[in-house]
Amino acid sequence: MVERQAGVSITYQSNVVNRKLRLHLSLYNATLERALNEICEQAELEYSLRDNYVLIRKKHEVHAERKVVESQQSQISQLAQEVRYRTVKGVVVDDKEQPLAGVSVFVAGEHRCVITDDSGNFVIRVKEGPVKLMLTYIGMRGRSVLVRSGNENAGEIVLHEDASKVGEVVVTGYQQIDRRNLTSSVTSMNMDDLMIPGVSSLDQMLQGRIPDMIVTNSSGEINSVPNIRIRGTSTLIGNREPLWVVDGVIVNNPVNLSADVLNDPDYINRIGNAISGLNPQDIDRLDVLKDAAATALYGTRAANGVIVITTKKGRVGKPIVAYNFNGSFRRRPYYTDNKINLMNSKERTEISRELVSQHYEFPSDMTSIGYEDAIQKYYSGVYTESEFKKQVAKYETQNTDWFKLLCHNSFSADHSVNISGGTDKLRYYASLGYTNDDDVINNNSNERYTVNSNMDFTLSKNFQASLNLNAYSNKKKYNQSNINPIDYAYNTSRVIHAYNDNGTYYYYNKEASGGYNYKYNILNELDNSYTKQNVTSITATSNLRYHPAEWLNIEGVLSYTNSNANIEGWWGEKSWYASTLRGSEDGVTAPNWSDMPYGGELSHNTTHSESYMARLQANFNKYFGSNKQHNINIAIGSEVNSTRYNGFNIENRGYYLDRGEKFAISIPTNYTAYYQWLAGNIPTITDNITHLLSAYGTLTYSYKNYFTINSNTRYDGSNKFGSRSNEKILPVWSISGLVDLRNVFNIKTKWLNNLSLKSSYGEQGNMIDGQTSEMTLSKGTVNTYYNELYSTVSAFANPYLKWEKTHSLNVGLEASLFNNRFMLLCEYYAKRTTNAFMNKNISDINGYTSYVVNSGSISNNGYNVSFTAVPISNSNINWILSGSFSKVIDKMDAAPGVDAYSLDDYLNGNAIVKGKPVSTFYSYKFVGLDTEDGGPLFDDWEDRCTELIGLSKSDTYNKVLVVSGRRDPDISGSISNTLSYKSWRLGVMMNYSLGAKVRLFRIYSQTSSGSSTPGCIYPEYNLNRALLNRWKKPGDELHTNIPSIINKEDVNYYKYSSNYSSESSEYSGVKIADNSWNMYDYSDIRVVSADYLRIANVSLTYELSRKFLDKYKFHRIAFTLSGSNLYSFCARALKGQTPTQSGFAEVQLSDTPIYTFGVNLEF
Amino acid sequence: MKYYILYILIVCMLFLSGCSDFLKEHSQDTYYVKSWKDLNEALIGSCYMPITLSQWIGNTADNQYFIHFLGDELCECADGADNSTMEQHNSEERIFGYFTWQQRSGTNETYTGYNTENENWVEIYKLINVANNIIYSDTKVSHSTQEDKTGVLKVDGEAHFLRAYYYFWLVNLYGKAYNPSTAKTDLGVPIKLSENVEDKYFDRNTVQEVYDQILVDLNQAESDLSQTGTPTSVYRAGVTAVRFLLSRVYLYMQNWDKAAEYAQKVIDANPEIMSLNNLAAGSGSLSKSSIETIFSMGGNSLPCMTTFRHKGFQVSDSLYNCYDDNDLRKTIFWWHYNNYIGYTRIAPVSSSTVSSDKYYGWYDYNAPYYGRKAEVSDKFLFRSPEAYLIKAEAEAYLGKEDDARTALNTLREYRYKYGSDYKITSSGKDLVEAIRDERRKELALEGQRWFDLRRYAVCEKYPESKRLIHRYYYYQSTISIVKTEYHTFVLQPNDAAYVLPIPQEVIDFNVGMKNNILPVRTYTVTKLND
Repeated sequence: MVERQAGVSITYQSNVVNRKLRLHLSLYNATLERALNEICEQAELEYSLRDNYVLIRKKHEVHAERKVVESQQSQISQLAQEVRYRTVKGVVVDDKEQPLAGVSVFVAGEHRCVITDDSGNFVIRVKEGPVKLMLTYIGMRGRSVLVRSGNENAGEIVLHEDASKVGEVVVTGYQQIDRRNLTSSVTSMNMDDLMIPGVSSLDQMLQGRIPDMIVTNSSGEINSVPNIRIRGTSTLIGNREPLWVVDGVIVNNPVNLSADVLNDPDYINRIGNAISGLNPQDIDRLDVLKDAAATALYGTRAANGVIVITTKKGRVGKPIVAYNFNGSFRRRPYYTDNKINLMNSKERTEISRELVSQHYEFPSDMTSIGYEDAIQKYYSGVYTESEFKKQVAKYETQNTDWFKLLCHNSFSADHSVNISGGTDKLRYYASLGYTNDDDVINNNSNERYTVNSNMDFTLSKNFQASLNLNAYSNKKKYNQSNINPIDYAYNTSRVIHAYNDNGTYYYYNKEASGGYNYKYNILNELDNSYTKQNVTSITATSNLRYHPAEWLNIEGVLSYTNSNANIEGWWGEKSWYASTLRGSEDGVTAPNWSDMPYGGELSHNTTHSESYMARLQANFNKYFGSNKQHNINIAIGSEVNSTRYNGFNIENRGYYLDRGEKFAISIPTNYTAYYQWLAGNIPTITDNITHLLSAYGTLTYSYKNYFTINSNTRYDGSNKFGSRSNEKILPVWSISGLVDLRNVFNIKTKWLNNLSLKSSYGEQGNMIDGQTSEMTLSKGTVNTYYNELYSTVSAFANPYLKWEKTHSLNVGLEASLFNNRFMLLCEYYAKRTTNAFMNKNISDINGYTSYVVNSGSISNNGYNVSFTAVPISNSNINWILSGSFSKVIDKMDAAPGVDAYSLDDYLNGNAIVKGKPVSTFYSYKFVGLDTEDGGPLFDDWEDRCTELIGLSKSDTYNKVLVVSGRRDPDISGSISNTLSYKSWRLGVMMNYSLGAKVRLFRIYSQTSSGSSTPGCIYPEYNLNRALLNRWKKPGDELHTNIPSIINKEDVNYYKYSSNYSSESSEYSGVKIADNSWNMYDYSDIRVVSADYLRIANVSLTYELSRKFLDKYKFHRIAFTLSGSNLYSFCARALKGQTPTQSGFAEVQLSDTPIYTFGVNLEF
Repeated sequence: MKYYILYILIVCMLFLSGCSDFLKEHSQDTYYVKSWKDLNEALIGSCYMPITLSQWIGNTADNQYFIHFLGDELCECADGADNSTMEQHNSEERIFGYFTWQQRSGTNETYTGYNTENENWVEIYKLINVANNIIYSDTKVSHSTQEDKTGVLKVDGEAHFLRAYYYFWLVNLYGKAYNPSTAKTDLGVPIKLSENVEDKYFDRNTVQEVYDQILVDLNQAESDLSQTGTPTSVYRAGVTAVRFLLSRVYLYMQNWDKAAEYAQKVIDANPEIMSLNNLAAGSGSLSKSSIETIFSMGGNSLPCMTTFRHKGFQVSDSLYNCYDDNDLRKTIFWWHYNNYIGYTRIAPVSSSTVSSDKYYGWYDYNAPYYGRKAEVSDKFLFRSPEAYLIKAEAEAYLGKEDDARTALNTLREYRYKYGSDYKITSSGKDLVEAIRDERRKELALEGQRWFDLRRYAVCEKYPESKRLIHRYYYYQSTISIVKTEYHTFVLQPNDAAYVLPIPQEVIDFNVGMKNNILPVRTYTVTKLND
């Protein structure tokens, strides 16, 4: 058997080996050396390994004299029947003090062995005198313990998890591959290493942890889901998110979101993704499949990588009940945080006072409030001088704490209970989890219940079955998307008070479209609106494995998921939003042009999704050749997948939440605008079915331990409408190989345990929806004008469209040194997408102006280095240090249409530009401040604008704007430390990101939506402290680059209020900018580096001692104290603005520190 | 053990049997063209002119609305109904470039920038492309049953008719009027007949080539639709509509024989003319149920585009003054209040006010028609009176003046008050002028006047080109109702601006395409000192 697996030939003398000897060996995925060591140790043999030949000899033949003597003595005493035995007992635990059942305990030099029981206890009969006990267990580093003579208790023996062992097997979802034969690029992680206490979803724990995987949190809100990109972006129009696989089954998002929504860097996904319902406590391990060879078996859907999750399974042993509690404290933002560089009331009033004294002309659509309001009242005689002064004094000290009003320090709790155990026939793991996350933003919360059960049955020698059940209910509550409390708190003047003296809300007038004003208070707005979301889902998976022969294994999987997502949005009649629809204040009869004469608005969005998967797979694994040096491993399978999304979407008006959730009835017909709205308010139903029938195969050939080659292919048939996937075989294939350099070059160096080189090359194809080889129609209903059914043309034929193809190459070098104490992995990849889909503009004489062609090309290269080191490892101290570094170099090789992107796309980094990486953004080139009036000056080509006439958008922007950098980092990674000392364990995790650029928050356009008169100072908005340092008098331009505030009345105002390109009658080129204030906010001096090094997590765990535990019948008690997002080292110019949060869209909640206390009990 | 294998096999079999059409393509609402019925549905949804809602100039989705503003039928309102309460009307600005015959139709009123110019062009080519695809697809669908065969003929005929009509529309806007002696060299519009994308820069075909294509399509349509029976409604083209368009096309081509021949065929099929004497007050003369209506497609924005408000438009005096006092059209087609002449060719929505009230136009037309679909189009409308007029005109040129007078007087009889003298007795050039005059009155604001003006100028027998004058008012501000000045624009006889410039967007994209060269439009300023 050893020969077959390792591909070596073993030679021995027949008289040496005792054929009757039956060895108890617990070897799984062990190296050849280890196997031989074990065997020989038990059989009292010795071996030598040269080339591929193993020579086995009797041990004493070459061994030291003393041993021979010892052995002879024992033989003698055995013969003399004088042997005295004693029993030694002990308990085996892992490094978390968890008892290990099933550990093999041998006595060195004898072939007797016992197995530990469910509590990790063992009792073994040994000879008198000192003996050496050998302990082995899968996934743990083997250990030997010396038991002195007379000692009957070996005590607690800790087996340490072998850091290298996590990676011994790679789980791809379709197969489990021995890492030594793994030819593709896969990063495997143990959940214990990833776990960040207080974080309720796995995806949020992955930031910086996996090489080549970039995780960006667009907001620090608890409900937001991060964006994940594995190895850059390789498609332009298609989906860029990776595929999630749980226990071999692809999981889908609860709500079907389109690719362009998910690809938008400013979109905040609060709905959740495929794994939002998975309790991290139930996860055992994670495998991230990155290259073509690893993902080929998943077909085209895996073009962006696959993340495979394996959940926990039961172990043989007595039932163990574990309880886990995490309580987290989140700190709300404070004005005193260095992060927030905003003026206080006094500073803000001072600016107002200055402006008024300069006869500043305020914008016509301003809200009269604060100092501006007081002085107006004073001038108009409403206030006397003393009243005015009193009022101003009050404003100056108002300092409304918007962050306190809208946020709170929050406490979240997470409980989970699981029970696991099993017998030879049945192993089980069942868990119950409850998470209650409270966000620092008021009324934002996330409540989740999870149930998970995994059962494994051994039906007979050849049959195994398992049944998994996973269910969850996830309730989220967040703000309506058009209210952003953080943005509001950031941008609103602290002079404005929230409450009147009598404790009621203070309202000010806020302008709505059409020049109407309605009273507004953010607290009232939040009281009268919400978005509630409820997702429930259940998944059942059964798995049947049959192995009729040793070389054959057949597996059948059946999985079914049913999930419901319900999103409800409400606006109460008392809200400002409702007033704008109603056309009157709350309580005032609506005018007849009202869009919502009564009540509030309620929207409902329901998605029901149902999916099933069935798979049948056969695995062959055979050794051939005279010396069994050839190994062929084949897996073929076929799979059926079906996913159906049913959506129903409706918006209703006239709703009264507090009147028993009823709707207004008999709305008078003179509200014609309302009835017109009602006539157009048609519910939309979406019904989306995807069927896939696939066949796949993988072939692996290994020659001895020297090299492995592998090839994969997959065919998918789908019911996708209009796509040509039915007509042509999907081009998905890969080949890969591995060479064990240590064996090939016969490197004998002791300190080198492993050195292997692997490489893969593959091709993946992609087709987008809505492209068809013949004209398709879309069914309409009845055209009441014609009184006939009608259809519209949905898509014209695009018969010459080809597959978008991504070729990728992966090269990896893996080394393991100093007895596996130091491991290093370097990988390089090159991906090239050709025939990428792009929209090409065509002459409108064709009837439409753009169509999809295969003209794009993207190249995407990168490399990563990661290492794991165990500098110290002994019974007391164990220190594991690991780190990674990834770099991505992506570049667009073909130019998109010249007018494909707008100015905003260039400024915000959405434009794709030839020769530039995806996410490159552009800025205006700032040249300084005007020496006379302090206005901002830019190199906007006004002096040479004639050169711009006739140029396309892309040519113009490429000339006038300057490249500021990329929004996504190109270098990222992490450093993590785990230090255990006796019962203490300290983990420090840091991650870093380099290469990204960020724009500072805007200072002249004061709201996220952009005020109607940029550059004007609105009394209701707060200002950035940077303005305190603005240009005030000639000469200031030498030491500041903050422009002055220029009065509308100023003779120079026109220079800045509109850019030549938007107003001038002589210029007929493409518009470059609206006004100088906007240009300033989007200029190159407002761009700073977003490089950071963050202390992502520090945790300290204390395990209670065995002695104590035994007394109270506990298996384990551990306490953990942890802090996440503690501090970031980043550019000083950021003034504390979080590097991941840029001023591209609204101000979002940045990552706030989380402090967590956790308890883990097992009994 | 064997049982397990058996069970697995059974489960697999169940799976495969249960999903025989597992990979059948699925979509919620899209489908492939399988039969002529699908193409028939697509004709309504994507090939006939969309029925736009009646809207103000600034908002209208009707992309052909400008046709009424080019000729001498509309002028800007000199004043509003009520200076104190009525604000200025919504955005006349959009029409400025067309109304004042600018070098570029998108020119704005301050000459500082340009509005979109290619809306009409893009829409028409979009419709042509659908017609191309329907014509291509109808050869692929099933022809097995008799019903299928007839259905395919119907679909094919209508698509050819529509394609011809759209090219006819385009070539008369962007090409010179058909002049038999120069049509072979005059530039028309690009012809694209294939169903696939042609990724190239297009060039313009000659006017002759475009007209030849129109005739090819119409002859095909005639042969198809003559086998399919009468259409289900006036919104679908039948063989009469095809012959109607043929008579109009031949008239434009100055092929008098053919024009008269086809006009006669239309008259034979649809001889009725409605007597205005019998028309109930406030019911409008144009409707889908009128005995005169043969075919209509598209919307009608005139009730909203003409309004008694500042910066609104109204019917011009010169048009209104054409009508005799005995001519019933003067009171039925139009509504008159002080200096304001309003459009009442279609029925009012409500009759809440009486027609003598100054708010009549506002409350019975402008406001209620806003956002509503009118029954018949103001541009793509075939009515039997026009057949009589074509017949009269063609016969007059052919020298058959008796026939011409008969046709003309048949129409006039139904238009004049009982007992009044309606008969035309003139001959020669006078007769032709009388017929042209009659066309102007009968087909007023039906989108024909501009085309007529163009073709009269190239008429070989009696060429006549008009000088047109438009006034454009300027106001104190965008919300003020106080006029400060008006600019007077003159379109000279045979002015190059009788041909619209090709939209700039089209010229920009199709490198090398020749534009029509229009003169810089000069104007005179008249200050108003109110």
